[in-house]
Amino acid sequence: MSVEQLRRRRSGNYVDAVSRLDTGGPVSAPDIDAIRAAVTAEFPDGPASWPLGWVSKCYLGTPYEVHIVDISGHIIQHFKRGEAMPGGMERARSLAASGRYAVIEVFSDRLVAIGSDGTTSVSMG
Amino acid sequence: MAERIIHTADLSAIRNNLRSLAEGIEDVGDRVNHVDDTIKITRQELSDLQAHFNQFIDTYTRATQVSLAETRLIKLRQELASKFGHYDDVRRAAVGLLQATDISVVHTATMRDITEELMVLTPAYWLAPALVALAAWLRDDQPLAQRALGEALRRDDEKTSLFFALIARRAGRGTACATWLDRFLGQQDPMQLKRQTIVLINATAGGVFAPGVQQICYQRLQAWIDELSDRAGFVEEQRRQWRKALESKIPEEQHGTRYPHLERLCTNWQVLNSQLNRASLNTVFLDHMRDIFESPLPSSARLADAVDDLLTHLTTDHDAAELPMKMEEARLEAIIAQDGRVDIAQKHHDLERESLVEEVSFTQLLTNAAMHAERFGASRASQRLAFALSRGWVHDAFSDLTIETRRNQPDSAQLQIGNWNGQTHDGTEEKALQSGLEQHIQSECMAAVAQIRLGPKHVICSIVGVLLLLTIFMGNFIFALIGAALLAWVFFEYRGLEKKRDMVRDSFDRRRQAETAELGGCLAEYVEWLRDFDARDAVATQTSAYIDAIAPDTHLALREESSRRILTNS
Repeated sequence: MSVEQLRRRRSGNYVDAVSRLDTGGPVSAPDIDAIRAAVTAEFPDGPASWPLGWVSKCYLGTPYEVHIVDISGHIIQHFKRGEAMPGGMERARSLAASGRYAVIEVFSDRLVAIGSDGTTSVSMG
Repeated sequence: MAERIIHTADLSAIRNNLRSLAEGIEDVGDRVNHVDDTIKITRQELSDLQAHFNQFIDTYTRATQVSLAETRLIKLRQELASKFGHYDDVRRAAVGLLQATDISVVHTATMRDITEELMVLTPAYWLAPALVALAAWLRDDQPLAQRALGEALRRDDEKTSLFFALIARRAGRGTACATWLDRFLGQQDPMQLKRQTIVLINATAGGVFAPGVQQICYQRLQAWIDELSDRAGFVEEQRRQWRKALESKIPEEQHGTRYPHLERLCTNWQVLNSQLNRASLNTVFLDHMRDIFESPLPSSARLADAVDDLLTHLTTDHDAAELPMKMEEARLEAIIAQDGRVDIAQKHHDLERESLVEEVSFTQLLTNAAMHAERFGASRASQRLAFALSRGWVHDAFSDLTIETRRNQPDSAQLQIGNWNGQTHDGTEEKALQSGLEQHIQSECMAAVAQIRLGPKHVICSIVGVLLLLTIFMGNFIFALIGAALLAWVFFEYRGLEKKRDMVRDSFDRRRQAETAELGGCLAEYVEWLRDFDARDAVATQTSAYIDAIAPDTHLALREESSRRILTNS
């Protein structure tokens, strides 16, 4: 996926879908399907162009800090402070925990922070 | 027998000898001190001498450099006069002609004679036929004007076009000015513009030209951006360029006075300090933009003067052929002006040369204009234009820089108080940290107290004391007395141990109080620091919204304002 494509503004539907996951309980299958549909619409080039995962601030309260969404494995997992996150998700932790962005898309070589209005900011590495 | 021993053990002789030995040592000590003082004085004198010598070398070198520069300058000027002296005549005539035309005091025939003579005397110089054309134009001799113009354009199209564009602007000939200016701009490579092009951009943005000319210039600027945008990687390069420009606005303040405990006791204080500075960029940049967009535009009269200056420069500037020699002349002059300090002179000269010779891309010119207007001579109107044309890149660069700052945010403050280490995430862990610190001090105190006990020397003295005391049964009262004294010493040492332990406990108690107070100070300051950072960081939303609001409207408003001002003036 090109840099310019990654930088384009995200749709409101997509931002809503991936950032409303603070239910605390298990996420229902229709919710997961809604997320998948929003992601598919946002990244039409197929799963290869999708982020590895999404990390956002957890509003469940202490001790939970952040949670991750992994579409391919249907996993939504909440993490406490100090609890290590899998894969490269840890890179997005401080950004997600700051609460300044709706969600952080984690790619292998960069992070794309999505604002609540869909605007994007890119950080390499 | 015992009495004889007492006699031979008479210590007065030894005491006397010891006294004289002590006096001898004292005497040697005095002498050593005296030698030490002498060495200090000698060193000081040597150091003074070295300083004088260095000063002498410096003065001598500078005097040599000045004398060398003066000699070279004389030679260089002779060479310049012999090779390009006639160019100066043309330049003087050009300035004179312009001034004479302004006040209409010279007859056109005189102008014709002078310009035609210069044309004959200075082959290959573009300004000579340009002056012939100008003189012919002033007396309505169209065929000669066209022929001379053709020759001037053949010699240097770029300079001739700009020359006549500026002349036409002075004369208030809008259409001619637009045609010549478009011809000049059309010859520019947007990747390699001279820094002085900023004068034209200032003039375009500031409403110096008539609305029609301004529109043509603006279209040309847009065309440059379109041309540049077609290049691969251009947009990414613009973001990088703007990011660099934004980074140059990050303050370099030291916040230690507000956070003295953290500055002293936090091992990652430098990161915390730098984060505050990075977050301050939000306000700094917002203020910078507000200053550009919300303060009134200065009068265009000064800009008109700047455009006239450009005309003067164009006629008096040196040609490419003589430029290297002129540069060398300026360098030698700088050495003389700096009293032989070659390094300082070179630095000044390089800076000046860079500003004159360096070529930059159009977008770099916009970035420089928007962010460092004073250094690059950009007007407020140019800054607005630059922001309007670069808004998308500015937005991306700013949001990337903001995310970088947030990503670099440390998740804790690392504290080191004495030899205790701890960390705080949000300053709320006071109880746990305080108890950790107290436990650490307590364990150190216990270890120190445990160290206060009778040592091997006391054990040996006790044994020897007992053995000597036992000699009393053999009638050796003296040895018995010594043994008793040794045992008494050990006893008093033993009794003093508890007192020493109490002193150590007291000192650790004082340390505990001082260090827990310091820990409290660190935590309070860290909470304040977090609030401070959050407040500075939160401004990013406002700054980002301001960049978005610049939009094309700002630029349109600029043009409307320019047009309005021109209409009002006319």
